[in-house]
Amino acid sequence: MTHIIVIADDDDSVRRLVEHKLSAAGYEVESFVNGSRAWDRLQTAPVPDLCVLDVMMPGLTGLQVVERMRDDERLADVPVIVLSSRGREADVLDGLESGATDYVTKPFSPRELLSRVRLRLGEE
Amino acid sequence: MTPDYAPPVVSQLPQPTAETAILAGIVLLALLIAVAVLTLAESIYQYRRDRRRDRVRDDVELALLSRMSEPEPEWDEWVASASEPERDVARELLNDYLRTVDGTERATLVELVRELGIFAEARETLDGGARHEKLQALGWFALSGEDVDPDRLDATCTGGNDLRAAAARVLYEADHPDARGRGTDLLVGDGSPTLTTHGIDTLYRLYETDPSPLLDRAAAEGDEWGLSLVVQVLSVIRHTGLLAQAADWSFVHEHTTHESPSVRAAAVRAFGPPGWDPTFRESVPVERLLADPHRNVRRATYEVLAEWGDDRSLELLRAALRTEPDQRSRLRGMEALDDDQLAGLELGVPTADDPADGEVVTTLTAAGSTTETSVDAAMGTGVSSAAATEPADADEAVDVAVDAGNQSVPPDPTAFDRALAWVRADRGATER
Repeated sequence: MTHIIVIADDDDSVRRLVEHKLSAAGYEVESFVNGSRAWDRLQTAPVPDLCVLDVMMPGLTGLQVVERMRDDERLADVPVIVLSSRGREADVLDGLESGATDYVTKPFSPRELLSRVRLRLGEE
Repeated sequence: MTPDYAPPVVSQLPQPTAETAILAGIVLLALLIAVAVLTLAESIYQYRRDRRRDRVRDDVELALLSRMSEPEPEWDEWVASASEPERDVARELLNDYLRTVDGTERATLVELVRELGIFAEARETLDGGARHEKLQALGWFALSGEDVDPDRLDATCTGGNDLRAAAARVLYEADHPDARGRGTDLLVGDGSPTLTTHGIDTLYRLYETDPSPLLDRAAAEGDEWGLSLVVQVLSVIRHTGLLAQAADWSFVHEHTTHESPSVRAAAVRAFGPPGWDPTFRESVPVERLLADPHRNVRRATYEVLAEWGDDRSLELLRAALRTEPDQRSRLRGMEALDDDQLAGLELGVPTADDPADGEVVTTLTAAGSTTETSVDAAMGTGVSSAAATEPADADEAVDVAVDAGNQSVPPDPTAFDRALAWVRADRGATER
């Protein structure tokens, strides 16, 4: 069964990069330009198997989406990898304390991101 | 007939004939038409070029994303077969992706930069390009981590502090073996009175893991630096100083007695990070700094004492805050404390019979007035305007006036309690 991954990032190049990398690896990718649209999608079926969310987005930030997911029974167990250009310890802690499963700082290695996705989906 | 009032010179000039006027009009019209045609042609050319690029953009991006993950991307074949619009689009995309991608894929993209001839062009530009072209060239080197001979950078990139900063950054990003030495030469060398923001960031990155060499260099050359550069270097030392407790801090100590309060304050703040070491803390003349005549230096000392957070520092800070004549400095000192440390300060209960706060606060310049006067309003302190005397700058004028005002007013015993209550209320509001 093909895993469904929802990605959200307001940066076009990052979004296309992640979408390409994950699609090439065989995942079904649904990408969105901001947290609000990603959240609208998350409230519909089917529930994705994993989310990759940028932290800093207009409207709903990635961390706000994560917090909402953790409050929703349907989405509470969906692993979330957050992407951020802010790599200070405090920012990482904020991300993990909000409920994110993993935290990747930009610039990032697409290969490493793919490895983390596989790990979180239980494929590694 | 010449009017009586016409000046003699004008009356001697030949009067334009109708034919001349018509000819001038035709020439002007022709020039306007030529400019319009050229502008239109340029617009059409740009439009068609952008259309060609847009048509190939998706395919080029797909090629980049696919090949960047390949162990053998074969960029030479791709570049050889690419059209000019495709190569142009590849350049634009590389500029984006090199800022986003790390790891193996990044190295692959750098190979494409090389294959497109960007590095060769950039090197030629360093030798003979305009300033903005050199900055673009240096940007490519820095983005790609491409090594450039420091001698070449010295010879071609010292025409301004922005070029110097960009050149130093190239050495840092390339991890050049002598990035610190040559990079610092570029940043703080002759003719560099101050650092750009990029320069400050680069200097920080050069010494992020060990600021000791920067302290040594500052001790050796700091006397030749201007005030702005001294303050900037002290700021960098503050942010990199955590691991430098065993280094030579003479440069910083000397500048705690500098005639400029900005320099003294910057020097004090540099003592903050290594203060976890008791031996280091003992080397800092805290009592002298707490007695500094300028409030900015005292404020910096309060921040450092709060940052250190040991019992003796907090005791000194509490005592100083009680006798601090400047209410804003007292507030800053209290705000630097965390909640537990703040709880250690005594809280008196203000009554309706409290005498009016007689402290006089000068109305500030627009740069700081809103925040500071609103604080004063919230604190219930009186605010009055004072004309600034001839200052070195606006901030100094305010400081002179405020300090004069503070010295003329007897200390108010309720001001401490009022400040403490305000800070607690503000934190409570923030948490809610």
